[in-house]
Amino acid sequence: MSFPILSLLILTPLIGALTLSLSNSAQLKNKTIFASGLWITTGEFLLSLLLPIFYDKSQNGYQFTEFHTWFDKFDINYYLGVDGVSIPLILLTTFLVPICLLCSWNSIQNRVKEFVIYFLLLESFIIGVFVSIDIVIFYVFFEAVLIPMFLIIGIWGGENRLYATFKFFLYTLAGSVLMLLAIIYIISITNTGNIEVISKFVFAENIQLILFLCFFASFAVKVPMFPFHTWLPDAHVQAPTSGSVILAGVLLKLGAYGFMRLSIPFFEFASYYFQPLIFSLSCIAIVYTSIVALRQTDMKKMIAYSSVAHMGFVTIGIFTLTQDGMNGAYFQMISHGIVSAALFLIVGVVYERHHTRMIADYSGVTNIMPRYSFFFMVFMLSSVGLPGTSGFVGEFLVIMSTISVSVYLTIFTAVGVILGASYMLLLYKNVNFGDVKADIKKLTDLTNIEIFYFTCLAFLTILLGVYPKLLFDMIDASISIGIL
Amino acid sequence: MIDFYSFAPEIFILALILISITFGILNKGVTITINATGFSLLTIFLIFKGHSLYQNSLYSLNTINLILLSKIILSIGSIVFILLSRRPLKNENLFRYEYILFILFAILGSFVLISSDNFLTAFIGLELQSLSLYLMAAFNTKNLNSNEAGIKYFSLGALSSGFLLFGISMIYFDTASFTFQNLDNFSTISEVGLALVLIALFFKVSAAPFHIWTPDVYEGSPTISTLFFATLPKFASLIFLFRIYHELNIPKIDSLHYIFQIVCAISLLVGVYGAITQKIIKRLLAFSSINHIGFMLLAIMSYQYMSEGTIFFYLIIYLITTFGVFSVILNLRTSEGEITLLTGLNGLKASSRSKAISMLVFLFSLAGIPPFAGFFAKFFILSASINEGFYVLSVIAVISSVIAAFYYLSVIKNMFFNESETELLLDNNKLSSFIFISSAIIITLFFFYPDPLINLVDSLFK
Amino acid sequence: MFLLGTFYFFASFLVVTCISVIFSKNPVNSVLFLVLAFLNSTFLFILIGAEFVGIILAIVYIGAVAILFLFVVMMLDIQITTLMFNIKRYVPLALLFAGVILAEIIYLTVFKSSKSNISEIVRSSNNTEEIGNVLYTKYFIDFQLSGIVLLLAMIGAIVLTHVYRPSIKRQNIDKQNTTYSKDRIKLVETKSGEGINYNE
Repeated sequence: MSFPILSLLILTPLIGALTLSLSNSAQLKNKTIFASGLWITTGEFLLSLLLPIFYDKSQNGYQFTEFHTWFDKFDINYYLGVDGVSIPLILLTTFLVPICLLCSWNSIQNRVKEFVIYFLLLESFIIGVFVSIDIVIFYVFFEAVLIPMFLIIGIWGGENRLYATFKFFLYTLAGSVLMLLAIIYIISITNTGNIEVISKFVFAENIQLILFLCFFASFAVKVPMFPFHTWLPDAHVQAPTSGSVILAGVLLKLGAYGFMRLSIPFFEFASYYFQPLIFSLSCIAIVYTSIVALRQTDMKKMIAYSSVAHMGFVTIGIFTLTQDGMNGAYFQMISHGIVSAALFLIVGVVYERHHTRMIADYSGVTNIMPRYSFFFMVFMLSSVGLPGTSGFVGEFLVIMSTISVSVYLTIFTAVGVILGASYMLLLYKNVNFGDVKADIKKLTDLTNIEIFYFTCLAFLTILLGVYPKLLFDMIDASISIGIL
Repeated sequence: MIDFYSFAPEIFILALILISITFGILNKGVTITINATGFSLLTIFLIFKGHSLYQNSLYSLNTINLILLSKIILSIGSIVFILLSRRPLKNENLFRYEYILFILFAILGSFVLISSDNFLTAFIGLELQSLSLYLMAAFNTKNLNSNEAGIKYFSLGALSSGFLLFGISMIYFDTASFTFQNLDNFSTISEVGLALVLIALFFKVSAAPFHIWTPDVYEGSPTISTLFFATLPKFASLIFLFRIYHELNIPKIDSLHYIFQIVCAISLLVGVYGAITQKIIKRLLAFSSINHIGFMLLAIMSYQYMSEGTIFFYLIIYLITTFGVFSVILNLRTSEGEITLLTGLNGLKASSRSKAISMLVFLFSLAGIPPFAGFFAKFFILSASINEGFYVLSVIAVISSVIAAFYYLSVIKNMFFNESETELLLDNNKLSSFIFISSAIIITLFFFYPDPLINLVDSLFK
Repeated sequence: MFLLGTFYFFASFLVVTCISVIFSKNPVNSVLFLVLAFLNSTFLFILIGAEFVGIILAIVYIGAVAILFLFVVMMLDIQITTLMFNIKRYVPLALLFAGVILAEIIYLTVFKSSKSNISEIVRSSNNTEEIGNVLYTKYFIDFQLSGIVLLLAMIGAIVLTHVYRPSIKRQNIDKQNTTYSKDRIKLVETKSGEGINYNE
């Protein structure tokens, strides 16, 4: 197809941001800016819907490819393309960004124009990561994502935002520079940056191990896996609601996507070699962070830790290196993208009204905000993994695939599911039930906008839970051919 | 017979100096016009007729191209600098025509240094350059800090010149020649002598551990002089270092090669370690420049796997970024004078959007974060050094750039997150606004289209 | 034999005067010893036949530099005790450097021989002529560049030390030349006993 849809996807938000930044901010009202941002991102979403429509599932490999030479000296090119693995993530991104703008409609009052611009840039860069099939472009977008996120957390975050945003930036950067070295080494050996070509190249085994660890450093921080996860709770707690949504919804997936797209196809031997390491780290992540989540008093922190646990499922699933495990992990990624984003929105709703995130400050909310409690329940149950919601399918497939690898692994992941249920239910109980506190009474129920986006998210959750084939159709072929 | 024609650029600058001395007494402003025009003519001449200069020389074609390209960059840089210097000097009540003379002398010294074919000429060129730099550091005679900077720079610089001269004399003792070519058969004495020469050059480019003067001199000197120290003379010295490294085939001499590697590693680390705790902008920039020198030494060492285009890409990006950063800083003043502390940048985003965003671009580019040209600049160097087999140095380099990201981010934090305490008087000088805005655009553009620049340079070196 | 004896006489004298430069308590004495040291090295140069370098040394260092030192020393009020204190502090470092340089010299003189042709130049009949020959041919550019360095040094010294004081009256030649006598001189007739009103 000659129509450059992928470049258009990257450029639309970029051009939108540019136009906004050149416009005279004094004359524009905040609402106008938000509205224009919303128009751009909605257009982007509609544009991205073309991808699954025109994507030919029967064919393997990358589609909608675009190729432009970047350097004469190096075989590093502007080479874009998508396959079944990237399309759902692109859709998830374009879907979540308008919601982020919607949910900030009231809560962000100062420097609105910058806010919208940074979100547009962020969207553009994230899509760039998912569509690039040149390793250098991948890295460029992967790094560039940090800049708007750094600013978003740093400008509109909570009291301790500087600490959080610096930690976020430096942790991620420290991981990625090692990946950069590995990338440079790979290019120096293979003389190309093309991911397809590199995937076919077989590296010497000892070199594979080192290169794998370099990539691992970057992706493990991003996912985040157990010892590298400490930036996540800080970043989540300090970020504004919209920041948390995009962070949990999409940014964490970049790491997992990197594992699937780069680490495993490049370093097959090393992937098998490091399986035990990754399994043990993921198990620790699942059990340990679940227990930590149980003890949290801050809602956002609790959900942040639950994210780490859920991403543990994803890494386990990916590194079973089986079709089922991969599928499950991927499903879990998408599901977590929707559900955790929704949960952060849920927290954001009450935080905006009551200005506290402490669980102890809430009780009996269901009496005052019935609609809110309803949506909370839907997402809570989906996060727990109730059959019929999207959370179930992913977890189920991952657990099932672990049996073929190790029974102990199955036990640990199952324990993780139980712990997950316990802290989520605890959170739900403490916030929604009990006596109605005096200051809770003044809270108002969801506005129409909020109902709108919660409905969208809930619809998706249940749709994927009831009809997972929708997603599997898309990814099955790509995962079996492209990655394994 | 001496071939005077090959000295035409130097003689031209000398003529400019003499003209400036004559007219400067009558009218300060006219010296700027004369010299800007003069350097424009020189640039045009070097671009179109440059090759005719070295027709009779013994240099290889690559060396000639290296010399010409460096001279072109230097003279373009001088045009920009001479035009830029007027306003800051006026702001500080320092606008005297002698300052322009010092710039000319320094550029003359740099020209001589770059194109010298023997140690003696190089020494005199370096002295001419350094002497003008000492004077530029001490130019604000009423300011104690400036005096201090001048004296520190002078005394340490004299020490390094002593090393240089001692080294040269040892080499002369051994080989009975000052020229670069005759040094094929090295004995221990030449090796020691060359080590001393290298130390002096490391001092001039402020590579650690010979960097002690840098933060103090950067801080004390008038800001416009600091900009000069950080860019053109340093560029010239680096090119000279590059020539020495390859024409004397230093990689073959193990001891000197190790010295190079160690200095490179220390520069990378000291540059970031020193910068973290700095609260003064110019000191921070000083340490940041030390870190970048580390990268440039790495580039010089892994030259074999790197085209000239990529080395010049790094240097040009560094020059443009530094010009940009300083022209933003020169534009910021409070009622008490120049801003010196990092907290002076607080709330810059609110008071001047274009300056803050340009600074953001420069700092991210210095940190090597895409999508800015600094990323590819570092990328090429790392790629070459990995090919060369400097794994440890590459790891040190990337670790240092992560730490460097921390302090660049804290500057950005001040500009974007903090509220301003004192009101900034925005000195909206059109020229420097033009310079920093165009620098920011160039740096972003070079990320997307680095090829034209690299190919242009590469086409000169075959 | 006579030559060797003279050499050792001047050389040991040189060492003694150098030590005296450092250890004399009075800076004026110090400078005078410095002059003596220069003089001794002049003799040493002449002894090896380099009379031009020797004479230049005498003229430049004794005639100009040392005298300037003397001026500076006389004008500055230097505390002798603090100077001595500083010297003691730096003795270890100085000894280290001296040791290194001594080792180098021993190494060079004992184990190595120079390839340079200085001795040949010196042996020729008139070394002033020899130096002139290379200075104005081979090293012409360097020679001229040194001149430029001196020009810069001169300008620099003026810039750093010149202070413009508005209170001092200066001659303004332009202004003097562009005035006419009728503006400057006014002839008035005065009657006796009345005097002149200057402002009129």
